[in-house]
Amino acid sequence: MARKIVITSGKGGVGKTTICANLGVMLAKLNKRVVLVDVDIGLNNLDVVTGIENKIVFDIVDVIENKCRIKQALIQDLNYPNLYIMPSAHSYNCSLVTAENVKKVINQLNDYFDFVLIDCPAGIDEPFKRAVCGADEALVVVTPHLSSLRDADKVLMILNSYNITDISLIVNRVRGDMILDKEMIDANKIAEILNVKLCGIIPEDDNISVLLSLGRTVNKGCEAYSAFTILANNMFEDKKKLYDCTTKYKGFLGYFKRSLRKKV
Amino acid sequence: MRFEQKCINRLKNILKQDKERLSVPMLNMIKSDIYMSLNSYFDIHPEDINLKYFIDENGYYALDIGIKCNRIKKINFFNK
Repeated sequence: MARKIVITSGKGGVGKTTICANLGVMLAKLNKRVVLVDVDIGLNNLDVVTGIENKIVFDIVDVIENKCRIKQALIQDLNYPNLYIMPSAHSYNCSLVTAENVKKVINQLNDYFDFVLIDCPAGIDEPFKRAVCGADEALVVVTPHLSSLRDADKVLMILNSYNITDISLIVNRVRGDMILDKEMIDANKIAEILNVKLCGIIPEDDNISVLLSLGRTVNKGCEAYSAFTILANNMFEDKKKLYDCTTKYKGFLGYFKRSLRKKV
Repeated sequence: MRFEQKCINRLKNILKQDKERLSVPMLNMIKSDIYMSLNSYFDIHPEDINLKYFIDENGYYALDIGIKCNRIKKINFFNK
């Protein structure tokens, strides 16, 4: 029986798709069978982030419309054989794409995978409901900015009315230097204010922008790699370990880096 | 005040302002459920229940339930 986890946020652009892809890769590295399902119909990007945009033949809408079998819409990742992606469509004009039908598709993946990661669209309207109704667990992604946190609070309120057994928070794009200089709200404080369990902290990493453009996920040369590894392990651990973004900015050298950042 | 603390205060204010207010129909439903629950133990009427709520500084909903009655109902406890 798969764990069906929706990755949502409310606000767009906080890193849901990036986290979905990278978490999927890390879980696949732990020998789990993982499928990433892009439920963002119309503004889909999971294919671009994972580099499969030229390999799409069938997508989730084709499955719902019975134009193909579900296995035909799954694209296997070249680097991680345990990882599959079900892409979304660019547009649809079909009354069949309802929350119930999306849920049926996700349930069909139960027997084949250990994890079903659902990439949710931004917003809290019908597309959001389509993504959430098929999930048992939720990961709410925020950045340490007021607009993101405000939207996440609304999402948390809505998620409580669904059949979601476990809701956790991931704080993305955290700047360790700004945390130490008290210019950014700490992730633990964010979780306390939103009254939700903190599951992961992902640092701001310029390498991610570069890798996204190439359709690749994080590698060992990135600071975020360690953070995503810890996040993947947290999926199995009751006691969550969290990545410390401030480590490299502590001590004399760290202080020097922070001072230099302000001057340059 | 430090920047971080200003942000935190501002965030708390925004979240508090955004909290959904309990509508009158919803309050009436809660009152009705409370009445149905307590009517098993107390001799009360729906009008005897006074319900107030507010949102505190931390964004928590606080519900004050006031009930007055002059009689409790006899309850049979079955001893094994």
